[in-house]
Amino acid sequence: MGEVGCSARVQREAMAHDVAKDIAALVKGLATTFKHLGRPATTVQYPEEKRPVSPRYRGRHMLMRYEDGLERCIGCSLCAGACPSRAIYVEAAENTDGERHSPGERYARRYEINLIRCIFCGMCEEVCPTQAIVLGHDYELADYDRADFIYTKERLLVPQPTKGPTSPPTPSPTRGGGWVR
Amino acid sequence: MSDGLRLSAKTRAEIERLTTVYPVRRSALLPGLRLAQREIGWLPREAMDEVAEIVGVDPNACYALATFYDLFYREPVGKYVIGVCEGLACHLGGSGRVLGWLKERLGIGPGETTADGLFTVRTFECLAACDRAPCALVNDEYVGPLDEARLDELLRELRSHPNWSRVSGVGGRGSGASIPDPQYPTPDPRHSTTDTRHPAPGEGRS
Amino acid sequence: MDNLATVTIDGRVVKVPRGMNLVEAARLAGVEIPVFCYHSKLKPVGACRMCYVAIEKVPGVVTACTTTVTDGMVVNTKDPRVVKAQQGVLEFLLANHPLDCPVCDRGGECPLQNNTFGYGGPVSRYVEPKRHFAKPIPLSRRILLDRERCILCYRCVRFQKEIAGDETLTVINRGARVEIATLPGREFDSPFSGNTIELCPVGALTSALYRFKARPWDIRSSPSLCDQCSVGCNVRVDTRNRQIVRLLSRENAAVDDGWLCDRGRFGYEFANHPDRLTQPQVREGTRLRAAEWEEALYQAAQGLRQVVSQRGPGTVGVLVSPRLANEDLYLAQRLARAVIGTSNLDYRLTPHPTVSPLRPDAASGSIVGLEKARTILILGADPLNHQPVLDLRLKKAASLGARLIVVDEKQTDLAAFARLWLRPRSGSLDTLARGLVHLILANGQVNQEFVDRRTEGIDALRARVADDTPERVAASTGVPAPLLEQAATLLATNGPASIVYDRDLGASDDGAAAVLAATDLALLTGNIGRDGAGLYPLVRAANEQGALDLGLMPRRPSPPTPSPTGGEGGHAGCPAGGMTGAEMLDALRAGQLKALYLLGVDPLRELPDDRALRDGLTGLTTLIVQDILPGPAQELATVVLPGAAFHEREGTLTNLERRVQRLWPALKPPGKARPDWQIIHDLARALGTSFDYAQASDVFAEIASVVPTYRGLTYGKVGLKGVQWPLDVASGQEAGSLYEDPGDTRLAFTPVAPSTARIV
Repeated sequence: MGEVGCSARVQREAMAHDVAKDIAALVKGLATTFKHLGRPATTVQYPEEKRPVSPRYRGRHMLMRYEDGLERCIGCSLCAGACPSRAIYVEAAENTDGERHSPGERYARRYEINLIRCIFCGMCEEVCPTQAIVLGHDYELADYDRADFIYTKERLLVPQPTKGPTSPPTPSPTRGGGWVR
Repeated sequence: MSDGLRLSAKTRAEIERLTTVYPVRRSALLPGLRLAQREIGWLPREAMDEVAEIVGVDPNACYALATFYDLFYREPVGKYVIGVCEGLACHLGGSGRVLGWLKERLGIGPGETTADGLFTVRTFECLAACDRAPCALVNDEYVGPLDEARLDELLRELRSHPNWSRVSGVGGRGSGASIPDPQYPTPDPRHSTTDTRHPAPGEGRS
Repeated sequence: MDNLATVTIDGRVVKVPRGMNLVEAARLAGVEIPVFCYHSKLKPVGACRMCYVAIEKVPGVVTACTTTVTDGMVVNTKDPRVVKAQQGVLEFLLANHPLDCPVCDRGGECPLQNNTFGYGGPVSRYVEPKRHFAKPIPLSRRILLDRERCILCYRCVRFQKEIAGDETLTVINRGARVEIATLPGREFDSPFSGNTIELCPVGALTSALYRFKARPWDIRSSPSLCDQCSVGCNVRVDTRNRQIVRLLSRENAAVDDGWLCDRGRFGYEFANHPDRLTQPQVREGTRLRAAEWEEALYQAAQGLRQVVSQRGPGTVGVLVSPRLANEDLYLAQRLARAVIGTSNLDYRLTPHPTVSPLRPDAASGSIVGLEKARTILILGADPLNHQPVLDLRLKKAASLGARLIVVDEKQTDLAAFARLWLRPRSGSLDTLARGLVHLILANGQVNQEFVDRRTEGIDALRARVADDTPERVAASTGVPAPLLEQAATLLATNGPASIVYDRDLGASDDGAAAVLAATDLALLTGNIGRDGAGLYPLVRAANEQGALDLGLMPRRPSPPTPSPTGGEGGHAGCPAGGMTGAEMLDALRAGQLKALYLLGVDPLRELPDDRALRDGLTGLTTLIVQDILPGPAQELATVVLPGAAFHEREGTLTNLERRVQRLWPALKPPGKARPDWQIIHDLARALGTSFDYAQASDVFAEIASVVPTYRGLTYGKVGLKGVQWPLDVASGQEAGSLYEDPGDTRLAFTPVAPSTARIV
């Protein structure tokens, strides 16, 4: 037990050293704080304020239209086939002269994406022969009810267009070009 | 028959006879259709069905055969079918002008029939009568070489003769080539008409 | 030396039969040669030019499908000239074929897509507009034609002509504007038209029913059987969203040869019907209400128990559908005989026909055996209407050289393919058949060796047909004597000969005697017991043969009740006698039945205007109706039990050639519906028995243990292609033909005078 005194001394020295270190760290930290006090804030006040997303960002899907308002989707189900998480359900039906939804013979009567399953990989967009399905920039997808995560065609379809340069013309078999040729 | 779409008993009997002439009964289809068109002027579906029934093949097979041949008309044609040759010699010789004159005088172009049902104008690729370019085939008769005067004469003749066939003057040189009436052989007793497995090619015609 | 040729294909050396074409030979060598127009069941035409190969010492490239192998041939399918030629062919095809694959029903399973992917060039140099036609035009109610997509392989036209034997499809406007078509205003009205959809290598011919229903990757497939007729064609059931979207052929060379009829292919809609029964119902006063299974089964059991205890088991009847599986039928007869204690049990509502005295009561030969026949007598049967795919087999036999003799007053489809068509006056079929027997006896064309060794009773036969001379037969049937003579000679001398007749023929008086005479004809000429020589009574319903095998009728040998320790336990408790279906209907009309259990049968659907029958059903104390769709009898039922359709359950069906084949569940039954065998099982338990079958295979195992003809069969053995009973348990071989080895028993000529020959 004769070593107790020695041990106490060592302890005291060590403690003094620690305190000095802590104070140094504090000063260093506060220095950083004070350095930034004068600079403009980088925090974004979400949700009041939003950062722009990358142009290639893959958010919620949209079903696009042609310039004359016809749906681009032809109900081919390729997206459903390509989807690695089997999140897409497509039911096709036939266009008639009285009820035309898309160019050609076929359109999607039902188009549903289960956004709980979706992993936003973009394979559906990749595989779509008509560029009908496009992953948009909307990422605010929280909801209260699981059923509400099934996005139906009505929710996915973009509104009727106001004619603009971004919507390409509707393809026609006789004009050539596009998937219908 | 009254509707003009059915075959007379005589034609039926003739087709019936033709079925016994060839080693394969089915071979009578082509001459049968030709006889039917000769009688009616064109080949309505009813007549094709009738020929098929006599020959004993499916009506579809008969129809398929008829659609191959340019000279089987599946729509009514005028009493006189004026077929203008558009082969090289005739083209250079002015077949375009002939068609123009026809359009002027009859008011119809290729594939059309006059309202009075007298004329149909059509074109041919080559009638193999280049020595008479520009020539035409009127029903089964060759006419040519055609110029405006001869065409007018031809049309006048066709209009005035109730049963026109090869009229001198327009036919041009020589005795005139015309497609002969089909001559069909009489049955050869050596042929069995029931055995369809071993047709003897070429033996049918004597 | 032998009949094989040695061919080298892409360096692989194979021995193949001489005369085989190169596409097939390459298949044997494991080399794929791409094709469009070639099909192994159709004659090669070399129309598509896709199957180019290079052969050593042959200039240029040649089409493999029209080239037969020769010994020592060296073939290269990857020659640069071949590759270039195939790229060219595809580029030409795609010059006019639209690229509307995303909306095409063939997309994803399309030979043109696959071959383009495998053999085509990277891009097309053709950028001009393609030809365009009106998008699909209906060729019939079932089949749509998209002329833009057609690549003119003529498979469809060739199928109709070569296999179906009609020319309902044809090629018009041959030349630059060539099209596949029918006569204007005429439908594509072949009963086999649906096969052209499967044959079409592009999406030119598509099904109107399947149109836009699904894409190949949306589909779940399951093997199954067509239950529309007794041929038992093998099908693939494609389902999506708990609905059948289409049936495809699942080729079984022994049964269907890869074809389906339109009735089978398109006749599945009943299974998708929105009115399918999904919930048990029990009667409450004047109306039915939904109930749980426990309640419904309790009510049904109570109703049966009450009638049995008050009026005796003889007032209970059980009617089953011959479309139900063997498992259902077996349990139904056990329920009736051993549990309820009645033999009022039948699978048909009309009187039973007189049948051939040969036992077992089944076709003696196999379907594929018919191809070996040199002569086939078709006696009062119209397979086109009742067994359509068998009709194709008979036409195939004819094209292989068999002489068909059609005996029918009506001009059946097969009459056009027949060497002889005998048209006996209505009601004189028996005279004609006996006349043939007489002729064979009189002309000394009897197969004496066979008759001496295998049969008995020829003298009695000789006496019985002594009066049926050709002159008399000709006079009473209207068939000229020379035709009779020819028919008899063909049958007796151009063997092997098979005799095909409608089993229901025996229901009429003249038909009954004709059926017996047909047996005599087979025995006299020794045409039984080997390939190509057989007696084929054609049953009609999908599992009618199973119903016969399992004794689903009174006064017929029935399977013994198994003993608790397994094996046969004898017929203890099985009541004798019993009423047939027709007799039960009469008893119903007379008010003598008190309880009835209908399994898949609705007498009121067959006889909608039968007032007395309706009253009889109304007067029943207990009427249990088990079915998959609503029917008129259900309005009168005390309990309604929802069953499962063919594609929703396990089970086996036995086809007209004794082939036991399996059903697989592709879907779950809708709602609370259950497979029929389970319902019967549960009802028997509710009646206090100790039935204990966990799955359908347990029931089948019991069938195999108590029904001698099914001995040795298991689900595993039946497998995907089915097994013809009886199975030789020792060797594991199935029997193509019955009566091959008679042992000591002799086959008897018609033992009794025809007028008293009714079996049931």
